Amino acid sequence: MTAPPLNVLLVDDHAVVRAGYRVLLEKEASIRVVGEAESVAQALERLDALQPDVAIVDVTLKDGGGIDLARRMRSEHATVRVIMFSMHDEAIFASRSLEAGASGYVTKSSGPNELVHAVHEVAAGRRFLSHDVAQRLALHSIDPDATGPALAERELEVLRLLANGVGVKEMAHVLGLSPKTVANVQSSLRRKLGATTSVRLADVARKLGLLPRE
Amino acid sequence: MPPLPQVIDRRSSGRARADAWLVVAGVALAAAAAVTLELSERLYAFTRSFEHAQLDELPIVLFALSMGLAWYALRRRAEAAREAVARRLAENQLQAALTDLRRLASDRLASQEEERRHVARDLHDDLGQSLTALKLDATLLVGDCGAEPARARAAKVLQNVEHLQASVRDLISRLRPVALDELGLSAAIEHLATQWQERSPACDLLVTIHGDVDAVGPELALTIYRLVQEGLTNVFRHADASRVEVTMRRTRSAAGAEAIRVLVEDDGRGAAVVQPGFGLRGMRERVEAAGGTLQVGDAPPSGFVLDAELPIGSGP
Repeated sequence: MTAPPLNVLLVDDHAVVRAGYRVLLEKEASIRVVGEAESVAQALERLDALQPDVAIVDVTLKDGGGIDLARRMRSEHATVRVIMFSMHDEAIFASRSLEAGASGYVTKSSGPNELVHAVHEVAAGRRFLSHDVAQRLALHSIDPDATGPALAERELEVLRLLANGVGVKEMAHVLGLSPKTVANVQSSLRRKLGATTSVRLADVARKLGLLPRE
Repeated sequence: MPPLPQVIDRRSSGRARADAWLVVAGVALAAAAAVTLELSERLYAFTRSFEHAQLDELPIVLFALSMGLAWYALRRRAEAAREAVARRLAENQLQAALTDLRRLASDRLASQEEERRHVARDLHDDLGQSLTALKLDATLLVGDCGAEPARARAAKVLQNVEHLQASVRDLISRLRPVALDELGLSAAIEHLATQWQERSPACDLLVTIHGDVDAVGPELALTIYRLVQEGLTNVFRHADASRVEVTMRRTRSAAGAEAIRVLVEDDGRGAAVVQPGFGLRGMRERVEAAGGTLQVGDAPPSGFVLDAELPIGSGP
């Protein structure tokens, strides 16, 4: 018996784009576009009414940010999978999307088949990034489903303390190392993880299970 | 000619008063000495011996001389006062002109940035979305075309559409900082830092953000972004640093107003390599036009620090 089609909600404030992607997605027997929305307000309303499996959301909407919308969608309907959609292919867009709870990020310049593929992947509980953005993100990102980068014991300890806001001097004291060594470990950690901000490090620590979940 | 404004310079009027008292004291002393020592009698006796040289008229002559000198001094003093007032007027006019010029320059910059924002948005919305739809149709067309040469032609159309999409993306990123308009200031700074870090793997670049810095107006966000952008450009071009820290912090100014503190610190060559062309003056103008303060200088033991504080809510 074939699985029921995946119900998809399209959220984009450009009718031309919505129409185009509806045609594309409905070519697939396994996908059904059950609704469209052109604003944050409409999207939330349609989400409630239609309870789709997957929502495809543009990063820029006229009455608000798509990423904030994704966050709200995920908090109000934990089962919906969100794919962010955008012209932009920079890693920061994808990483912020994933942080907000989206399962996928697809650029509007990648092949339309990537979006179809994305729908299937995220519905199955996996993450999906279109190839152009995946390449950029690979340079500096952590895939929480993988076992994470190979970090030495000492690096893990430093990461844990760092993510808990412990300063270098205190850390040196606690770990029995010189402050210079601690600073060096932190530098190499940031480079390994591609985390230039302490917020990013905290995220990584959380994903590796080093911080209690909020 | 309109009456000249009074020039009251506290220090010099204090000196004048002190000088006047000195004169009074001197004259009083002379008078006291003359009375007690009977100076004029002695002088009379002395000059009497030189009567043939008419030296006895000396006191009268000296008196006339002192009156003349006093008159001369008073005239010069009045002249100097008028000159000082004229100069003060000219300085005020210059200051006013300078302020106007600064405001003009900052207004022009602000409207230029605003224009860029609009163009970037139009590129994204109009051109970008149309291109997306075009790409979709072109892709479907390639699939629909069974035979050559139609299929090859459709493939070329698709290729050109993809090229156009890339061009529009590039144009947009030239007009506005990446992610600033869509994701906010902290995302834009993070992206900027990541770009620099990737280009300079040997240098350790750290960005720390305390508090919500995204809830600032678009003009302030752009000013802060440009500040960090300029600061980082200078560091990576000239400082030869091994470590750079960018810190942004939501704070309160000395006056108690909500503000954002921005620091760009490195451990490189320090202020010695700072040249006029480093855009510091432009940065200062932008920061001050936004009602903020900017301090730059050496950061011991070695390196440079750029320290700005900008109020949220007042100014552009």
